[in-house]
This record gives sequence, C-alpha cells and structure tokens, in this order.
Amino acid sequence: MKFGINKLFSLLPELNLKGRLSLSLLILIILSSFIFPVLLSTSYEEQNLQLGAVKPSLTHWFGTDLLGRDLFIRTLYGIRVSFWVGLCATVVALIIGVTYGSLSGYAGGWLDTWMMYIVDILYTMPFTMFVIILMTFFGRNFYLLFIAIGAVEWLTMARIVRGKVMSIKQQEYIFSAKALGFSNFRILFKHVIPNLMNIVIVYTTLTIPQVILLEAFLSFLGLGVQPPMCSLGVLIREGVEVMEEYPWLIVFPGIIFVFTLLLLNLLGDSLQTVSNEKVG
Amino acid sequence: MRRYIIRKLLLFIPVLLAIATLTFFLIRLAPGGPFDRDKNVPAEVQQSLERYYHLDEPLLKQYFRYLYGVVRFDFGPSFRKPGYTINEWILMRLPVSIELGVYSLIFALLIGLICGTVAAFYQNTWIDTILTSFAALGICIPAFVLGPILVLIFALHWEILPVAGWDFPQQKILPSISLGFMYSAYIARIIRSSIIEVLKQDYIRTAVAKGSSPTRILFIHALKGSLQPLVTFLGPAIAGLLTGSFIVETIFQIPGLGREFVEATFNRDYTMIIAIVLLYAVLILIFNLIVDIIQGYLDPRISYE
Repeated sequence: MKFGINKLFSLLPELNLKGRLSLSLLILIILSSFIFPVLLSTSYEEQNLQLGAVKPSLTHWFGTDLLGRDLFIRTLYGIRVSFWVGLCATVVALIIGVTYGSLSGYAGGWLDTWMMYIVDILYTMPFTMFVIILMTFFGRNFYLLFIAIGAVEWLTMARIVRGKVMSIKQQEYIFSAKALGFSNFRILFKHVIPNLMNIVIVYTTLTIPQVILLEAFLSFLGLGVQPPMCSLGVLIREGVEVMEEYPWLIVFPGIIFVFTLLLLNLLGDSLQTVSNEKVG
Repeated sequence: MRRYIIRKLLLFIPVLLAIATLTFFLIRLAPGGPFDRDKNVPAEVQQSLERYYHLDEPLLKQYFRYLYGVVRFDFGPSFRKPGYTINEWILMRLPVSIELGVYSLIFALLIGLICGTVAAFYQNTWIDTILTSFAALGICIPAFVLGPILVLIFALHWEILPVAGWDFPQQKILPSISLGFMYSAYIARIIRSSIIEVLKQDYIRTAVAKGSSPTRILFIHALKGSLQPLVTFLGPAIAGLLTGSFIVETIFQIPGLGREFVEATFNRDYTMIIAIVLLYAVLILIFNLIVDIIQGYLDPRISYE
C-alpha cells in the first residue's frame, strides 16, 4: 500500500476548496471524537440513573439519554465506531474488488467474460436481504458485519478496476515488461495494480459513506453494532423509540450522521474531479 | 429483440435457482429453528410440529421437496402464521408495499425531474447553486433519519398528519416522502448533468437556430435526450425502493412485505423468508429487463446481439 499512500498525498494539494474544507472538517470531527471524551472525562457508557434524560444544557451539550448517559460523548463515540466499520468493510471490499477486477481485466478472453458475467448475476441479487438473513441467523458478530458489508460493496469496485486494467494493459510499459520476460504475477502486482491507485482511492472515499449508510441501516433494524457499543445507527434507533418525549435523542445523532455523510461525499466528489482532470 | 428477451428470461431460471438454493441452505445451516421460542412445548407436540412441516426429514429431501413446490408456485404453509399459506399471506401484503413504492417513485420523479431540469437551465446561477446543494444534502438523508424527523415535525409538533398507519390518504404522505426523498436527490443530480451534456449537442443548436422557445427546447428536446442515464438508474433504484421499504414500513407501522420480511427473519419463518427473497429477486430481474428494453428505444444505437 506504499504506492496508495504516496498517491493519496499527491492528490491532496490539488483538491478544490470544497474538498479541502470537507477534509479539514472530517479530520476535526475524528480528532474531537478522541479528544473530547478525555477532556470531559466521561465515557460513552457511564450511566447516571438519578439524572435520567435531560435536555441539552451547558453540562450536557446534546442532553442525556434515559440512563443518564451523555449524548454528546455517545455521538462522538458512535462516529468513531461508524468510521471504523466504514474503513474495515471498505478494505474488505477493496481487497476482493481489486483482486477480482484486475485478474479479470488482465486475463481477458473467456475468463474475463465469465468473471464479469458472475458479477452481473450477483448485481441482480437482493443483497440487502442476504445481509439481513446473515446477521439474524449467524449472530450479530462485529467481524461478520465487516465481511457481510464488504461482500456486498466489492461488485462496483471490481467493475471499475477491470475497466481501468483493460486500458492499462494496452500501455507501452506493460509491453516492455512483457518483453523483458517478467512473470504475469509480477506485472500484475508491480506494474498494473500500483497504477490503479488513483481510481481506487477515489472510489474508496465514495464507498466509505455507502458502507456507513448500510451499517446504520442494519443497526437501525437491530442487526448491526450491538449495545453497549454504539454507532450512529444505534443512536438513531434508540432515539426513534423515545422521540415523542425526548426529541433531542433523535435530532442530534440524525444531524451529525447526515453531516458526516455529506462531508465524505463532498470529499469523494472533489477527489474524483481532481483525478479526472489529471487523466483528461 | 424478441430473441434477446427470451434469452434473458431463460437466464432468470439459473439465477433464481441459485438464489433459492443459497437462501435455503443459509437459513437451514444456522442454529435455531422456528419453534425454539415457544417455551414449554411438550416433546410430542414439538415432534408432531416438525413432522407436519417435514422438518424431521433429511435436509436434502426437504430441499428437493421445497424446490418441487416452488416450481408449481406453491410456497407451502407459513411456519409462524398458522392457517395461512405463504401465497395467501403475500398476496395480502404485497399490494401495500407496491402502493408505497409507487407513491415514493412518483414523488422522487416529480421532484427530481423538476429540480434537475431547472438547475441545468439556470446552470451556474444562484438557483443552480441552491438546487445542487439541496441535492448533495438529499443523498445523505436516508429514510431512517428523514422519517422520524418528519414525524417529529408534522405529526408530533404541528399535529397535521398522523404518526403511523396505512388506512387513510393522509397516513400515506409521510412514508412516501421519507422513502422517495433520497431518490429525488439522486434523480435531480443525474438529470442536471445529463441535460447539461445534451445541451452541448448539435441538435440543440439546430433547435435554437430555428427559433424554438427555451421551454420547448428544454422540455421537448433536451429532457428526452437526457432520459437514458435516468432509466439506467431507475432499474436498481426500484429495487432499492422495495428493500428501502423495510425501514419505512417499520417506522410507520405499515403492514407491507418489507416489515413482514424482517419479522420473518427474526421468527425463523423459513418458507416466508425464501418466498419473499425470491419474489424480490424476480421483481429486480424484471425491472432490469424492462430498463434494458427501454434503453433500446431511447437510443437505437444499442444493439441486443
């Protein structure tokens, strides 16, 4: 992944204002999700049953929930978990998608036709339903969650990577590598995949919000992250149950969730613009 | 064209077979069964229940028995709804989900098409900026955030719309908006960029040159030419509207198939789960096929060979 990180840093200085702004805000959010719990010296599971649910105030910025837990801290912790799930599941999708897509594109011929045919078939499957079945029937395991989500999200990645590999394959440096007698394995991993990184980085930033959305969807049904841990989806679910009496419990996590997704999408969009300009 | 459709329809068979097989073994290999939750069931009752539903047979025999039923459109009795067959139950619940999906789709298309077209027409003005920002925000607001917040505002605070249910027209407004909103934002984005692309084409210049009015150019010439990406989007989107209804039906307590599916997985209602999965798979396949066909009409350059 050395190549990936170099490429990422080479893209960053060229980001437009929108991209820079959303990247800075995202970094700020992630940093504060680590700093504030220490600063306010409360944890996400610290209960105060006498206090119960109170409205937002100076001591509890987002109010507290029924068990007297501070919603601000819980939201920050939820952001951390959501991002963590988003990153891990995206990495799963990335590994499957890049391997599958580059193999298919590099091999070409009948193998390519069949591999892409399988992807086409998988596209028509009701995947959300499979994930729901998987999570209900095989326990709500944290790692299963990554794998289940990653297994859904790799399809588009595979298609995009395959298309890119097809065009890289026609480049002269690949012909030279072949003429030098390098093995296919070496060409694929040393020369083809590193040159995919631009497109992979762009698509990764666009996948992370999708994954966070799917995780929240599952958590909302009670199938995602399990208590006492909480993600933004769990907080929204808990908020919905009591929103008649304690509306702040749904409003704050909801707004933060939408805002985070928005920042991630804006960052992805502007990375996409940058890398398109570089190519075109 | 006819050959293309027939070939596609024939391909449905292995796909559906694969889905049925995968679902069957996925839910059967998992621990737990449909009658585990009933406490204090005498052993004889448990046994006769299992015999009645053929759960005591070897798994493979059950699988082939099930497939044989599916081929004749007989999905068997429900495990958790005594006295109902799956077919009766689905016929009762499916129309509700379809109604919700259709309303949401109408809402999404109406808002999306209008916003997208207007934004493209006023490209790079403040109107465009507002509409594009609205769309960028809209794709980040899923139904499970929008639904509760709409309920909070319109049902609990202003008390002008009911909180839940599916009996009167007023009860259908909030669920349809919650489900359709995100799609309206996607449609607006797609239509905007597509129209901007189309407006650069030669035939639009011809229309301008012959003196057509801007409205006519926009809505007759440009919109029609820009529908193709929308159609591509709508195939998977309709599938999404169907599965998205899981959440909306849960929030608004709508007696549709989505909520039924979630309940069925929690209750291990084996036959119900497979039947709903297969039904949705068929719907997705059919919508994808329709999209393919419509694309051929919109762009005669696409070949079906």
